[in-house]
Amino acid sequence: MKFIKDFFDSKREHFAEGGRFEKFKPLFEAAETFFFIPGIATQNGPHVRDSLDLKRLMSIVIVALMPPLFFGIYNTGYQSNLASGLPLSFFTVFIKGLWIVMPVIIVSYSVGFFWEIVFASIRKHNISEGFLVTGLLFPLTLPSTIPLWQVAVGISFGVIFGKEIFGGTGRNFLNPALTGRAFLFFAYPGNMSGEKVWTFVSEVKTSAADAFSGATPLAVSAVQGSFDLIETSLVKAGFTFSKLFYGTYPGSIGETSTLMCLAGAFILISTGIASYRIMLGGVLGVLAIAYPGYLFNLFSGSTSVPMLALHPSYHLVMGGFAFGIVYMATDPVSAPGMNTAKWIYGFAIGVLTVLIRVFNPAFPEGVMLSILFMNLFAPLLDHYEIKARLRKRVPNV
Amino acid sequence: MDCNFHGEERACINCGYCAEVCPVDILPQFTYKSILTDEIDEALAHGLLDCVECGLCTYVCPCKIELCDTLKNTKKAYYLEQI
Repeated sequence: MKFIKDFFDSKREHFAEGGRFEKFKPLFEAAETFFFIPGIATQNGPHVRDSLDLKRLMSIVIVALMPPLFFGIYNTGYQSNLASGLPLSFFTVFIKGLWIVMPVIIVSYSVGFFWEIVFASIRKHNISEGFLVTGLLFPLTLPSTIPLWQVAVGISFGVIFGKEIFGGTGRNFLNPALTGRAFLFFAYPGNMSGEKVWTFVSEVKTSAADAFSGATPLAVSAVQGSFDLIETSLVKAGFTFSKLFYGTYPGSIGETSTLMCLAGAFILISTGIASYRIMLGGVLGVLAIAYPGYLFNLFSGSTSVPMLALHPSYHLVMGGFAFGIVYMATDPVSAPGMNTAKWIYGFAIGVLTVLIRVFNPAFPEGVMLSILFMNLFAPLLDHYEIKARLRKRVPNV
Repeated sequence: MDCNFHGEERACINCGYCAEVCPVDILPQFTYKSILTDEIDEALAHGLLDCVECGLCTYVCPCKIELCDTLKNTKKAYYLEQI
Protein backbone atom coordinates (compact mmCIF):
# COMPACT_ATOMS: atom_id res chain seq x y z
CA MET A 1 0.00 0.00 0.00
CA LYS A 2 2.98 2.25 0.64
CA PHE A 3 3.84 2.63 -3.04
CA ILE A 4 0.27 3.62 -3.95
CA LYS A 5 0.34 6.28 -1.26
CA ASP A 6 3.75 7.51 -2.45
CA PHE A 7 2.43 7.66 -6.00
CA PHE A 8 -0.53 9.85 -5.02
CA ASP A 9 1.63 12.00 -2.74
CA SER A 10 4.13 12.67 -5.51
CA LYS A 11 1.41 13.68 -7.97
CA ARG A 12 -0.62 15.80 -5.59
CA GLU A 13 1.19 19.10 -6.27
CA HIS A 14 0.23 19.04 -9.96
CA PHE A 15 -3.46 18.95 -9.11
CA ALA A 16 -3.35 21.49 -6.30
CA GLU A 17 -4.17 25.15 -6.90
CA GLY A 18 -1.75 26.64 -9.41
CA GLY A 19 -0.61 23.21 -10.56
CA ARG A 20 -0.50 22.04 -14.15
CA PHE A 21 -3.66 19.93 -13.95
CA GLU A 22 -5.65 22.08 -11.57
CA LYS A 23 -8.79 21.53 -13.67
CA PHE A 24 -8.66 17.77 -13.15
CA LYS A 25 -8.55 17.93 -9.37
CA PRO A 26 -11.92 16.13 -8.99
CA LEU A 27 -10.58 13.22 -11.04
CA PHE A 28 -7.45 12.99 -8.91
CA GLU A 29 -9.43 13.04 -5.70
CA ALA A 30 -11.88 10.44 -6.95
CA ALA A 31 -8.98 8.14 -7.81
CA GLU A 32 -7.22 8.76 -4.51
CA THR A 33 -10.26 8.25 -2.31
CA PHE A 34 -10.85 4.97 -4.11
CA PHE A 35 -7.77 3.69 -2.26
CA PHE A 36 -7.55 5.81 0.88
CA ILE A 37 -9.91 7.81 3.01
CA PRO A 38 -8.80 11.43 2.81
CA GLY A 39 -6.85 12.67 5.83
CA ILE A 40 -9.22 15.46 6.78
CA ALA A 41 -9.58 16.09 10.52
CA THR A 42 -12.91 17.11 12.02
CA GLN A 43 -13.28 20.85 12.72
CA ASN A 44 -16.49 20.83 14.75
CA GLY A 45 -17.88 18.52 17.35
CA PRO A 46 -18.60 15.65 17.60
CA HIS A 47 -15.01 14.94 16.68
CA VAL A 48 -15.50 11.23 16.20
CA ARG A 49 -17.36 10.32 13.05
CA ASP A 50 -18.88 7.13 11.77
CA SER A 51 -16.65 5.28 9.29
CA LEU A 52 -19.46 4.93 6.77
CA ASP A 53 -19.20 7.50 4.01
CA LEU A 54 -21.04 7.81 0.73
CA LYS A 55 -18.39 5.86 -1.16
CA ARG A 56 -18.71 2.87 1.15
CA LEU A 57 -22.49 3.14 1.14
CA MET A 58 -22.60 3.05 -2.64
CA SER A 59 -20.06 0.21 -2.69
CA ILE A 60 -22.47 -1.90 -0.64
CA VAL A 61 -25.15 -1.29 -3.25
CA ILE A 62 -22.66 -2.37 -5.92
CA VAL A 63 -21.97 -5.55 -3.94
CA ALA A 64 -25.72 -6.15 -3.70
CA LEU A 65 -25.92 -5.72 -7.48
CA MET A 66 -23.40 -8.50 -8.08
CA PRO A 67 -25.88 -11.46 -7.97
CA PRO A 68 -28.17 -10.03 -10.68
CA LEU A 69 -25.14 -8.90 -12.67
CA PHE A 70 -23.41 -12.28 -12.76
CA PHE A 71 -26.65 -14.12 -13.30
CA GLY A 72 -27.51 -11.60 -16.04
CA ILE A 73 -24.20 -12.27 -17.78
CA TYR A 74 -24.79 -16.02 -17.57
CA ASN A 75 -28.40 -15.78 -18.71
CA THR A 76 -27.61 -13.47 -21.62
CA GLY A 77 -25.04 -15.93 -22.92
CA TYR A 78 -27.33 -18.86 -22.22
CA GLN A 79 -30.30 -17.37 -24.09
CA SER A 80 -28.05 -16.31 -26.93
CA ASN A 81 -26.50 -19.75 -27.36
CA LEU A 82 -29.86 -21.43 -26.92
CA ALA A 83 -31.40 -19.34 -29.67
CA SER A 84 -28.45 -19.73 -32.02
CA GLY A 85 -28.09 -23.47 -31.43
CA LEU A 86 -24.60 -23.26 -29.90
CA PRO A 87 -23.22 -25.42 -27.06
CA LEU A 88 -24.64 -24.70 -23.60
CA SER A 89 -21.79 -25.62 -21.24
CA PHE A 90 -21.34 -23.22 -18.34
CA PHE A 91 -18.06 -21.63 -19.41
CA THR A 92 -18.90 -21.08 -23.08
CA VAL A 93 -22.17 -19.53 -22.04
CA PHE A 94 -20.57 -17.31 -19.42
CA ILE A 95 -17.82 -16.12 -21.80
CA LYS A 96 -20.44 -15.40 -24.44
CA GLY A 97 -22.45 -13.43 -21.88
CA LEU A 98 -19.36 -11.45 -20.87
CA TRP A 99 -18.69 -10.74 -24.53
CA ILE A 100 -22.20 -9.29 -24.95
CA VAL A 101 -22.69 -7.53 -21.61
CA MET A 102 -19.27 -6.06 -20.80
CA PRO A 103 -19.22 -3.56 -23.73
CA VAL A 104 -22.60 -2.22 -22.58
CA ILE A 105 -21.35 -1.76 -19.02
CA ILE A 106 -18.05 -0.23 -20.13
CA VAL A 107 -19.79 2.27 -22.41
CA SER A 108 -22.29 3.14 -19.69
CA TYR A 109 -19.56 3.76 -17.10
CA SER A 110 -17.16 5.64 -19.35
CA VAL A 111 -19.73 7.95 -20.93
CA GLY A 112 -21.42 8.57 -17.58
CA PHE A 113 -18.11 9.31 -15.85
CA PHE A 114 -17.18 11.66 -18.67
CA TRP A 115 -20.26 13.76 -17.89
CA GLU A 116 -19.67 13.50 -14.15
CA ILE A 117 -16.12 14.79 -14.59
CA VAL A 118 -17.24 17.60 -16.91
CA PHE A 119 -19.85 18.80 -14.42
CA ALA A 120 -17.57 18.36 -11.42
CA SER A 121 -14.80 20.36 -13.12
CA ILE A 122 -17.11 23.19 -14.13
CA ARG A 123 -18.81 23.37 -10.75
CA LYS A 124 -15.53 22.82 -8.90
CA HIS A 125 -16.81 20.15 -6.57
CA ASN A 126 -15.82 16.54 -6.04
CA ILE A 127 -17.20 13.74 -8.13
CA SER A 128 -20.14 12.28 -6.27
CA GLU A 129 -20.37 8.52 -5.84
CA GLY A 130 -24.01 8.22 -6.81
CA PHE A 131 -22.99 7.49 -10.36
CA LEU A 132 -21.20 4.28 -9.38
CA VAL A 133 -24.61 2.73 -8.87
CA THR A 134 -26.41 4.48 -11.71
CA GLY A 135 -23.74 3.38 -14.18
CA LEU A 136 -24.31 -0.27 -13.30
CA LEU A 137 -28.09 -0.14 -12.83
CA PHE A 138 -28.63 1.36 -16.26
CA PRO A 139 -27.05 -1.43 -18.37
CA LEU A 140 -28.83 -4.08 -16.30
CA THR A 141 -32.20 -2.67 -17.39
CA LEU A 142 -31.37 -2.82 -21.10
CA PRO A 143 -31.96 -5.63 -23.58
CA SER A 144 -28.77 -7.38 -24.61
CA THR A 145 -29.04 -6.40 -28.28
CA ILE A 146 -28.99 -2.67 -27.55
CA PRO A 147 -26.63 -0.76 -29.91
CA LEU A 148 -23.75 0.77 -27.97
CA TRP A 149 -24.37 4.29 -29.23
CA GLN A 150 -27.85 4.12 -27.75
CA VAL A 151 -26.34 3.09 -24.42
CA ALA A 152 -24.17 6.21 -24.63
CA VAL A 153 -27.13 8.44 -25.53
CA GLY A 154 -29.30 6.93 -22.81
CA ILE A 155 -26.80 7.27 -19.99
CA SER A 156 -25.97 10.82 -21.14
CA PHE A 157 -29.64 11.74 -20.93
CA GLY A 158 -30.02 10.04 -17.59
CA VAL A 159 -26.99 11.72 -16.04
CA ILE A 160 -27.52 15.20 -17.49
CA PHE A 161 -31.29 15.60 -17.45
CA GLY A 162 -32.06 13.13 -14.73
CA LYS A 163 -29.47 14.41 -12.30
CA GLU A 164 -26.87 17.02 -13.15
CA ILE A 165 -29.12 19.90 -14.22
CA PHE A 166 -30.77 19.68 -10.82
CA GLY A 167 -27.41 19.87 -9.03
CA GLY A 168 -26.07 16.32 -8.98
CA THR A 169 -26.51 13.37 -6.67
CA GLY A 170 -28.79 14.18 -3.76
CA ARG A 171 -30.77 16.85 -5.60
CA ASN A 172 -32.34 14.79 -8.36
CA PHE A 173 -36.00 13.94 -7.99
CA LEU A 174 -36.03 11.17 -10.60
CA ASN A 175 -33.99 8.00 -10.61
CA PRO A 176 -31.26 8.81 -13.20
CA ALA A 177 -30.90 5.23 -14.45
CA LEU A 178 -34.62 4.93 -15.07
CA THR A 179 -34.76 8.38 -16.65
CA GLY A 180 -32.17 7.23 -19.17
CA ARG A 181 -34.05 4.02 -19.79
CA ALA A 182 -37.35 5.82 -20.22
CA PHE A 183 -35.69 8.12 -22.74
CA LEU A 184 -34.40 5.18 -24.76
CA PHE A 185 -37.71 3.38 -24.42
CA PHE A 186 -39.67 6.24 -25.98
CA ALA A 187 -37.01 7.47 -28.39
CA TYR A 188 -36.00 4.10 -29.86
CA PRO A 189 -38.91 1.74 -29.16
CA GLY A 190 -37.69 -0.59 -31.91
CA ASN A 191 -34.59 -1.44 -29.89
CA MET A 192 -36.27 -1.52 -26.49
CA SER A 193 -39.49 -3.48 -26.95
CA GLY A 194 -40.99 -6.23 -29.03
CA GLU A 195 -39.86 -9.82 -29.25
CA LYS A 196 -36.61 -9.74 -31.15
CA VAL A 197 -34.52 -7.48 -28.94
CA TRP A 198 -34.19 -9.60 -25.80
CA THR A 199 -31.84 -12.23 -27.17
CA PHE A 200 -28.54 -11.72 -28.91
CA VAL A 201 -28.67 -14.21 -31.79
CA SER A 202 -25.33 -15.12 -33.35
CA GLU A 203 -25.06 -15.70 -37.06
CA VAL A 204 -24.77 -19.45 -37.40
CA LYS A 205 -25.90 -21.82 -40.09
CA THR A 206 -28.38 -23.86 -38.09
CA SER A 207 -32.12 -23.95 -38.28
CA ALA A 208 -32.55 -23.44 -34.53
CA ALA A 209 -32.57 -19.68 -34.97
CA ASP A 210 -35.63 -19.80 -37.21
CA ALA A 211 -37.82 -21.64 -34.77
CA PHE A 212 -36.95 -19.22 -32.01
CA SER A 213 -39.64 -16.81 -30.81
CA GLY A 214 -37.90 -14.65 -28.21
CA ALA A 215 -41.07 -13.44 -26.54
CA THR A 216 -40.83 -12.48 -22.87
CA PRO A 217 -43.35 -13.98 -20.42
CA LEU A 218 -45.04 -10.59 -20.09
CA ALA A 219 -45.53 -10.41 -23.83
CA VAL A 220 -46.96 -13.93 -23.81
CA SER A 221 -49.44 -12.90 -21.11
CA ALA A 222 -50.37 -9.63 -22.77
CA VAL A 223 -51.29 -11.12 -26.15
CA GLN A 224 -53.31 -13.87 -24.50
CA GLY A 225 -56.61 -14.70 -26.18
CA SER A 226 -59.64 -15.46 -24.06
CA PHE A 227 -59.74 -19.23 -24.65
CA ASP A 228 -57.00 -20.48 -22.43
CA LEU A 229 -55.67 -19.85 -18.97
CA ILE A 230 -52.59 -17.66 -19.10
CA GLU A 231 -50.70 -20.10 -16.89
CA THR A 232 -51.29 -22.78 -19.49
CA SER A 233 -50.02 -20.69 -22.36
CA LEU A 234 -47.03 -19.57 -20.29
CA VAL A 235 -46.13 -23.19 -19.70
CA LYS A 236 -46.70 -23.90 -23.40
CA ALA A 237 -44.22 -21.14 -24.21
CA GLY A 238 -41.80 -22.76 -21.77
CA PHE A 239 -42.24 -20.45 -18.78
CA THR A 240 -43.01 -22.47 -15.69
CA PHE A 241 -43.28 -20.69 -12.36
CA SER A 242 -39.93 -22.01 -11.13
CA LYS A 243 -38.25 -20.94 -14.36
CA LEU A 244 -39.67 -17.45 -13.95
CA PHE A 245 -38.44 -17.42 -10.36
CA TYR A 246 -34.90 -18.56 -11.20
CA GLY A 247 -34.79 -16.32 -14.24
CA THR A 248 -33.55 -18.36 -17.18
CA TYR A 249 -35.80 -16.67 -19.71
CA PRO A 250 -35.23 -13.80 -22.18
CA GLY A 251 -35.52 -10.28 -20.81
CA SER A 252 -33.43 -7.27 -19.89
CA ILE A 253 -29.89 -8.19 -18.86
CA GLY A 254 -30.22 -8.08 -15.09
CA GLU A 255 -33.91 -8.15 -14.36
CA THR A 256 -34.95 -11.72 -15.06
CA SER A 257 -34.01 -13.54 -11.88
CA THR A 258 -36.24 -12.96 -8.87
CA LEU A 259 -34.00 -15.24 -6.80
CA MET A 260 -30.93 -13.05 -7.39
CA CYS A 261 -32.93 -9.91 -6.60
CA LEU A 262 -33.96 -11.54 -3.31
CA ALA A 263 -30.28 -12.14 -2.55
CA GLY A 264 -29.57 -8.47 -3.29
CA ALA A 265 -32.54 -7.40 -1.20
CA PHE A 266 -31.17 -9.44 1.70
CA ILE A 267 -27.81 -7.63 1.50
CA LEU A 268 -29.46 -4.22 1.19
CA ILE A 269 -31.91 -4.73 4.04
CA SER A 270 -29.49 -6.41 6.44
CA THR A 271 -26.97 -3.59 6.02
CA GLY A 272 -29.71 -0.99 6.40
CA ILE A 273 -28.95 0.70 3.08
CA ALA A 274 -32.33 0.26 1.44
CA SER A 275 -35.73 0.47 3.03
CA TYR A 276 -37.58 -2.77 3.61
CA ARG A 277 -40.73 -0.67 3.87
CA ILE A 278 -40.61 0.23 0.20
CA MET A 279 -39.93 -3.36 -0.89
CA LEU A 280 -42.66 -4.91 1.28
CA GLY A 281 -45.03 -2.10 0.32
CA GLY A 282 -44.43 -2.88 -3.34
CA VAL A 283 -45.11 -6.60 -2.90
CA LEU A 284 -48.27 -5.81 -0.92
CA GLY A 285 -49.34 -3.38 -3.62
CA VAL A 286 -49.04 -5.99 -6.33
CA LEU A 287 -50.99 -8.54 -4.31
CA ALA A 288 -53.61 -5.99 -3.22
CA ILE A 289 -54.51 -5.01 -6.76
CA ALA A 290 -53.99 -8.34 -8.48
CA TYR A 291 -55.90 -10.54 -6.01
CA PRO A 292 -59.27 -8.75 -6.21
CA GLY A 293 -58.99 -8.70 -9.99
CA TYR A 294 -58.15 -12.39 -9.97
CA LEU A 295 -61.00 -13.31 -7.65
CA PHE A 296 -63.46 -11.10 -9.51
CA ASN A 297 -62.48 -12.83 -12.70
CA LEU A 298 -62.94 -16.27 -11.18
CA PHE A 299 -66.50 -15.49 -10.12
CA SER A 300 -67.72 -13.54 -13.12
CA GLY A 301 -66.15 -15.88 -15.62
CA SER A 302 -65.77 -13.04 -18.08
CA THR A 303 -62.29 -12.55 -19.47
CA SER A 304 -62.54 -9.23 -21.25
CA VAL A 305 -59.12 -8.39 -19.82
CA PRO A 306 -57.47 -11.81 -19.97
CA MET A 307 -54.39 -10.82 -17.99
CA LEU A 308 -56.61 -10.28 -14.95
CA ALA A 309 -57.00 -14.05 -14.83
CA LEU A 310 -53.29 -14.46 -14.15
CA HIS A 311 -52.50 -15.62 -10.65
CA PRO A 312 -51.07 -12.63 -8.68
CA SER A 313 -47.90 -14.46 -7.70
CA TYR A 314 -46.86 -14.47 -11.35
CA HIS A 315 -46.77 -10.68 -11.34
CA LEU A 316 -44.07 -10.82 -8.67
CA VAL A 317 -41.72 -13.06 -10.64
CA MET A 318 -42.30 -11.88 -14.20
CA GLY A 319 -40.44 -9.05 -15.86
CA GLY A 320 -38.53 -6.42 -13.95
CA PHE A 321 -40.73 -5.99 -10.89
CA ALA A 322 -38.32 -7.62 -8.45
CA PHE A 323 -35.33 -5.75 -9.83
CA GLY A 324 -37.20 -2.46 -9.91
CA ILE A 325 -38.61 -2.62 -6.41
CA VAL A 326 -35.32 -3.81 -4.85
CA TYR A 327 -32.80 -1.58 -6.60
CA MET A 328 -34.65 1.28 -8.31
CA ALA A 329 -37.52 2.19 -6.03
CA THR A 330 -35.31 2.15 -2.94
CA ASP A 331 -32.91 4.81 -4.23
CA PRO A 332 -33.03 7.07 -1.15
CA VAL A 333 -32.69 10.31 -3.09
CA SER A 334 -35.78 9.91 -5.21
CA ALA A 335 -37.81 7.94 -2.67
CA PRO A 336 -39.62 9.65 0.21
CA GLY A 337 -37.79 9.97 3.52
CA MET A 338 -40.60 9.40 6.00
CA ASN A 339 -41.60 5.91 7.11
CA THR A 340 -45.32 5.88 6.36
CA ALA A 341 -44.66 7.71 3.12
CA LYS A 342 -42.30 4.87 2.17
CA TRP A 343 -45.04 2.27 2.69
CA ILE A 344 -47.46 4.29 0.55
CA TYR A 345 -44.82 4.90 -2.09
CA GLY A 346 -43.94 1.21 -2.40
CA PHE A 347 -47.59 0.20 -2.32
CA ALA A 348 -48.48 2.64 -5.10
CA ILE A 349 -45.59 1.37 -7.23
CA GLY A 350 -46.92 -2.18 -6.93
CA VAL A 351 -50.48 -1.13 -7.75
CA LEU A 352 -49.46 1.00 -10.74
CA THR A 353 -47.19 -1.74 -12.08
CA VAL A 354 -50.04 -4.21 -12.23
CA LEU A 355 -52.47 -1.64 -13.62
CA ILE A 356 -50.09 -0.71 -16.44
CA ARG A 357 -49.31 -4.36 -17.20
CA VAL A 358 -52.92 -5.48 -17.22
CA PHE A 359 -54.84 -2.59 -18.71
CA ASN A 360 -52.36 -1.02 -21.10
CA PRO A 361 -51.64 -3.23 -24.09
CA ALA A 362 -48.99 -0.82 -25.38
CA PHE A 363 -46.69 -1.41 -22.40
CA PRO A 364 -46.32 -5.03 -21.39
CA GLU A 365 -43.99 -3.87 -18.60
CA GLY A 366 -45.02 -1.20 -16.12
CA VAL A 367 -42.33 -1.09 -13.44
CA MET A 368 -40.18 1.62 -15.00
CA LEU A 369 -43.08 4.00 -15.56
CA SER A 370 -44.69 3.40 -12.19
CA ILE A 371 -41.42 4.05 -10.32
CA LEU A 372 -40.77 7.25 -12.27
CA PHE A 373 -44.37 8.32 -11.68
CA MET A 374 -44.14 7.71 -7.94
CA ASN A 375 -40.77 9.52 -7.81
CA LEU A 376 -42.74 12.63 -8.73
CA PHE A 377 -45.08 12.08 -5.79
CA ALA A 378 -42.38 11.36 -3.22
CA PRO A 379 -41.99 15.00 -2.06
CA LEU A 380 -45.77 15.35 -1.74
CA LEU A 381 -46.02 12.20 0.39
CA ASP A 382 -43.18 13.51 2.57
CA HIS A 383 -44.82 16.90 2.86
CA TYR A 384 -48.10 15.51 4.19
CA GLU A 385 -46.48 13.09 6.57
CA ILE A 386 -44.26 15.80 8.03
CA LYS A 387 -47.30 18.03 8.37
CA ALA A 388 -49.23 15.33 10.21
CA ARG A 389 -46.24 14.64 12.43
CA LEU A 390 -45.68 18.27 13.33
CA ARG A 391 -49.32 18.64 14.32
CA LYS A 392 -48.69 16.14 17.12
CA ARG A 393 -45.55 17.90 18.29
CA VAL A 394 -45.81 20.08 21.39
CA PRO A 395 -44.54 23.50 20.31
CA ASN A 396 -42.05 25.22 22.55
CA VAL A 397 -41.89 28.62 20.87
CA MET B 1 -11.02 5.87 17.42
CA ASP B 2 -9.63 8.95 15.72
CA CYS B 3 -10.63 12.43 14.61
CA ASN B 4 -10.60 11.61 10.94
CA PHE B 5 -13.54 12.80 8.89
CA HIS B 6 -13.78 9.30 7.35
CA GLY B 7 -14.85 10.72 4.01
CA GLU B 8 -15.70 13.94 2.26
CA GLU B 9 -18.73 16.15 2.40
CA ARG B 10 -21.46 15.37 -0.12
CA ALA B 11 -25.00 16.54 -0.78
CA CYS B 12 -27.65 14.98 1.45
CA ILE B 13 -29.02 11.77 -0.04
CA ASN B 14 -32.00 11.63 2.32
CA CYS B 15 -31.01 8.28 3.81
CA GLY B 16 -32.77 9.16 7.06
CA TYR B 17 -30.11 7.78 9.42
CA CYS B 18 -30.12 11.08 11.33
CA ALA B 19 -33.87 10.98 11.92
CA GLU B 20 -33.52 7.42 13.20
CA VAL B 21 -30.97 8.33 15.88
CA CYS B 22 -32.35 11.72 16.93
CA PRO B 23 -33.32 11.46 20.62
CA VAL B 24 -35.79 14.36 20.49
CA ASP B 25 -37.54 13.32 17.28
CA ILE B 26 -36.43 16.18 15.11
CA LEU B 27 -36.08 15.34 11.43
CA PRO B 28 -32.55 16.70 11.02
CA GLN B 29 -32.38 16.14 7.26
CA PHE B 30 -35.51 18.21 6.60
CA THR B 31 -34.79 20.77 9.30
CA TYR B 32 -31.32 21.26 7.86
CA LYS B 33 -32.73 21.79 4.38
CA SER B 34 -35.24 24.34 5.58
CA ILE B 35 -32.41 26.20 7.34
CA LEU B 36 -30.39 26.25 4.12
CA THR B 37 -33.34 27.83 2.32
CA ASP B 38 -33.86 30.39 5.13
CA GLU B 39 -37.22 28.92 6.14
CA ILE B 40 -36.54 29.49 9.82
CA ASP B 41 -40.23 29.30 10.75
CA GLU B 42 -40.42 25.84 9.30
CA ALA B 43 -37.26 24.79 11.10
CA LEU B 44 -38.79 26.04 14.37
CA ALA B 45 -41.96 24.08 13.65
CA HIS B 46 -39.80 20.98 13.18
CA GLY B 47 -38.62 21.46 16.75
CA LEU B 48 -35.31 23.20 16.17
CA LEU B 49 -35.31 24.61 19.69
CA ASP B 50 -35.75 21.14 21.16
CA CYS B 51 -32.37 20.11 19.79
CA VAL B 52 -30.15 18.92 22.63
CA GLU B 53 -26.98 19.22 20.53
CA CYS B 54 -25.97 15.65 21.17
CA GLY B 55 -24.29 15.44 17.78
CA LEU B 56 -25.59 11.98 16.94
CA CYS B 57 -26.90 13.18 13.58
CA THR B 58 -23.48 14.48 12.61
CA TYR B 59 -21.90 11.25 13.80
CA VAL B 60 -24.03 8.95 11.64
CA CYS B 61 -24.29 11.13 8.52
CA PRO B 62 -22.70 9.20 5.60
CA CYS B 63 -22.51 12.45 3.63
CA LYS B 64 -20.45 14.05 6.42
CA ILE B 65 -22.75 17.04 6.73
CA GLU B 66 -22.28 19.22 9.82
CA LEU B 67 -25.89 18.82 10.87
CA CYS B 68 -25.49 19.50 14.56
CA ASP B 69 -23.31 22.53 13.93
CA THR B 70 -25.84 23.99 11.50
CA LEU B 71 -28.70 23.52 13.94
CA LYS B 72 -26.63 24.97 16.78
CA ASN B 73 -25.64 28.07 14.83
CA THR B 74 -29.20 28.66 13.70
CA LYS B 75 -30.43 28.42 17.27
CA LYS B 76 -27.76 30.90 18.32
CA ALA B 77 -28.73 33.34 15.56
CA TYR B 78 -32.39 32.96 16.48
CA TYR B 79 -31.76 33.71 20.18
CA LEU B 80 -29.66 36.77 19.29
CA GLU B 81 -32.47 38.01 17.09
CA GLN B 82 -34.97 37.64 19.95
CA ILE B 83 -33.03 39.88 22.33
